[in-house]
Amino acid sequence: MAEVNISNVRKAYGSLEIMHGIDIDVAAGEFVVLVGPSGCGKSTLLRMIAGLEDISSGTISIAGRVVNDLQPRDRDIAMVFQNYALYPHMTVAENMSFSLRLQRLGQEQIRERVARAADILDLSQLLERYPRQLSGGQRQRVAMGRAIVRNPQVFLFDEPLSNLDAELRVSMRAQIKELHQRLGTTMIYVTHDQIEAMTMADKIVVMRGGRIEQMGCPLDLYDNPANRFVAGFLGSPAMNFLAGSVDGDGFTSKSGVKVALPANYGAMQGRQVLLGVRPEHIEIVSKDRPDAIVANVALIEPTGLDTLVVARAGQEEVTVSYRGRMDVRVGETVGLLRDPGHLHLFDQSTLARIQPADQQKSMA
Amino acid sequence: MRNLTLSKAVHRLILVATTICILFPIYWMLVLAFTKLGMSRSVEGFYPASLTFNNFTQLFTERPMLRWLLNSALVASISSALSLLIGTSAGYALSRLHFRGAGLIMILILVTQMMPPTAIVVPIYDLFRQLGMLNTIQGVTLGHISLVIPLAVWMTKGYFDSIPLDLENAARIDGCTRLAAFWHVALPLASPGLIVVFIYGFVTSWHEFLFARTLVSQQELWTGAVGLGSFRGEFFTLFEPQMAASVVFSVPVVLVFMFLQRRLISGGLAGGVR
Amino acid sequence: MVPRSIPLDARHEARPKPALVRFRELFSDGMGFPALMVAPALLTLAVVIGFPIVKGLILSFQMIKLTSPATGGDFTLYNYVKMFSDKNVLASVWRSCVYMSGSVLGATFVGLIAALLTRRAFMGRSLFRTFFILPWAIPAVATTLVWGVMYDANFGVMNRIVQLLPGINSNIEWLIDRDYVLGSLIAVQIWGDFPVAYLFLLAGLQAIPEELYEAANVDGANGWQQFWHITAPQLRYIVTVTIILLGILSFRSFAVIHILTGGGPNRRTETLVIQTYNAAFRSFDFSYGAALGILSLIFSVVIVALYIRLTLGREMRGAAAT
Ligand SMILES: Nc1ncnc2c1ncn2[C@@H]1O[C@H](COP(=O)(O)OP(=O)(O)OP(=O)(O)O)[C@@H](O)[C@H]1O
Ligand SMILES: [Mg+2]
Repeated sequence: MAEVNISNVRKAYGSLEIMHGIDIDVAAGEFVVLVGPSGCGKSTLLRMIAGLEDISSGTISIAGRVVNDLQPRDRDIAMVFQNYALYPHMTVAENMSFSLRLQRLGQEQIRERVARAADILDLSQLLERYPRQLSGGQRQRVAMGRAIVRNPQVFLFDEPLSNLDAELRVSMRAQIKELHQRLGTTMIYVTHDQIEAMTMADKIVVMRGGRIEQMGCPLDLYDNPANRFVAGFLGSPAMNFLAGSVDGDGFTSKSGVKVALPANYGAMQGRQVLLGVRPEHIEIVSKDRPDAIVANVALIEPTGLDTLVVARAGQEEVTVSYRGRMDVRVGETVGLLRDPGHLHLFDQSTLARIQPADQQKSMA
Repeated sequence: MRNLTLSKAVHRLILVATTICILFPIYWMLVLAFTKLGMSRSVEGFYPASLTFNNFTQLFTERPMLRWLLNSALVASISSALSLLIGTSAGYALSRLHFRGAGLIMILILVTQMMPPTAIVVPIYDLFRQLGMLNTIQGVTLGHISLVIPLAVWMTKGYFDSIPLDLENAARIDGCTRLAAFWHVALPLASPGLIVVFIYGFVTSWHEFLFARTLVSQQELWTGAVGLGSFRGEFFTLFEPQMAASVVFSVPVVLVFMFLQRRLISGGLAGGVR
Repeated sequence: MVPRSIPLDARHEARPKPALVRFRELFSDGMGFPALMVAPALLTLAVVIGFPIVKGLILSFQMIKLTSPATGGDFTLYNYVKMFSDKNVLASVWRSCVYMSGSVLGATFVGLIAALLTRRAFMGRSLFRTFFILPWAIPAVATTLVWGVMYDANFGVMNRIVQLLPGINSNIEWLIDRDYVLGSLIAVQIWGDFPVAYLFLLAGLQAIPEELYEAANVDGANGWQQFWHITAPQLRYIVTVTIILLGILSFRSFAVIHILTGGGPNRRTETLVIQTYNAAFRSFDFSYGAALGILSLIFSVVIVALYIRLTLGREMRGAAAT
């Protein structure tokens, strides 16, 4: 178990800088997920921690020791690769024991450690097979086994589940989380799947374009996204955004849809903003209710568990997700009611979140 | 339906005709090799008039054919093995380690691969003359290395390119130095390809004529390729033993090509187109 | 994404490392590793190719003849002056070009026919494939010798074959008649080289998606139309590569010409490569041979430049720039 400190790390290929000063502190035993759209630099950061990429500037330390100049093998880490990177010419047992053999551990000790890891991951029957004789899920487990026999200070995962089918992914997700609880080792996990991030992480780091957008525990990020990007990235279906301005006691969208705002947003008359509402925070009610916004149902997507309704109010399109089933039809006119406790306002030019007045005071 | 069988028949017809044209010189080589000494002039049709095995036995009894074959084998295995050894490390570095000047090195090696050997045979002869290396097996071997190394570098680079880099990354995390990752992971995975490179190098050297011809004049040190030419006298040529020698000299390579056809073909393309 | 320069103070300070650590890194990981891996090949190439080229350059600016030991190593431009005024040089460069074009076109054509014949599966295809690469497996010397026997003017089988055709009944002197000799040599070169074209074109043909032909069939295109509108455009790149590789093979060709004619009769088949060899090893004028060698080296650099431009193109130039 060890903490990892990343401080002002930059990465440049030639004159092109792709990481612009990353600071992350990972506490010992923490499960941190790096998440962000493709090309944002997650893998690069992970590989810099592993020592597979040079660090252009800044420092990375593991357990208090600066590792910038250390080779991967000297960093006491283990990594699970996206394509598993199992050695094709070695059996499962040989794959798992490779690092131990390099350390020149005794035969007995190696066998014991491999057996224990195989037991944890349910691989005991497969030890004599070659990687090509395994299914995708089994390969994935071997890759994990290869990492855990090492007993490293830090585990690194680079999208380890992205090559699995949906069902396996869910079960492996649970297995990895369980493994973390059992071993208590620091883990840094890269994914672009926000559900993986939400479900597994102690701490999520949302990245974009080589920068950190926000960092914190999953629900905190979900409830209080620091900006439009994080708000839109976390959550599925994604948050609804309406562009418009604050006037009177509410928000008016460009096409004239009015949404009442809680009193603490009162001091922002005339400001150009984006209003963000998550689909699950909108209710479909009768169009006759006086406080409802009148909208037209454009599309209905039942998923079984819940129902997605896309409704049009003026020029705006709003997605509503609804637990259970409901008797609405395409073309029908309904009323939409937003949950006043869960509104988000973002400045239209900076895209940063606007804190309601009382929270600003309480924070000050 | 009729159209289909017709086009099938046309296909077979052209196929057989092309094959006959292509195989005829080989067939003729065999015919003459089994014709009695001096009788090739009186072969009138397109098939052998008489058959004998004498030409072959004569090669080994009256001529140093065995010696030449051994020389060829010796030169070819040493030059190919050395080139493979040296080429593998360079091919690996060019495939994996993105260092300054790698592109330039590849272009230089390409140039050396493509330039005519006659461009350097004159100075090499002059150098060997001064160093006393004319008429030595080592000299020919060195000459052949200059032909085989560029090939070996390009081909091995191609094989290493096809091995996922993350395998070595995984090994480095597992505790390998770069050299150890190369040794434990990249090398074993590339070894089927490296065998192909060795065979190509071997065949290149086995076939080579210019260096073997110019750098050595003593009969005992000739390679097979040079030995074949020796049946040509000043006034007349011993066609039948010459053809027998050609057959004997061709057979090993032909056999290798036939057995390893598929592997060699894909390997050759990898080295050729890169 | 706008690249931003890295502020100096933010750079991680690289501490100087002790010599022992540096030495260890050479054999484990640091930047010394690439050098260590490439060095043997570069050193060997420097010895077996680089050094001879330099030596050849020096020789070409001297007057070294094996026949007259009195000739000397003083600097002279004589060989180059001679080379540029020597009509035979121009003639042999031209002949090289003719020989190359003939061999390349012929080998590509035969290779294409063979590839088209064996592209689709049928009973015994792999046998025919073996037949079509067989000439490649046979040493050029053996190939050349058997063609030499076949070309014999008096009792060679070639005349008997040709005389099967109506209207020909006198023997042709394949290797002596000045109208035939270059063509005869080109035929040998084609026979030895076409398997290369065959393999490349076969690979190229098999990479063309079958759906294209199916679509064309639906559209009612006949065999020729399919060839011109699908096969030919799809093969363009691989044909270019093939042509250049074949060009190099025939430009370098030595055994075929040397054994069959040695450049004769009366220099009718003297290519640049053969002229180089003859200057050095028949006239024993080493310096002139070396100068001609430099000329053929320049020739091949041009071909390589062409090759790089057409094939490796951007990627290689990108790599070379870093
Ligand atoms: N060798 C390189 N030279 C130049 N740019 C590079 C190089 N390698 C990566 N990049 C750039 O660095 C950025 C980050 O790449 P990285 O692989 O870390 O993305 P990622 O977040 O892991 O994306 P993904 O989810 O697709 O895996 C990308 O924009 C990529 O184009
Ligand atoms: Mg990635």
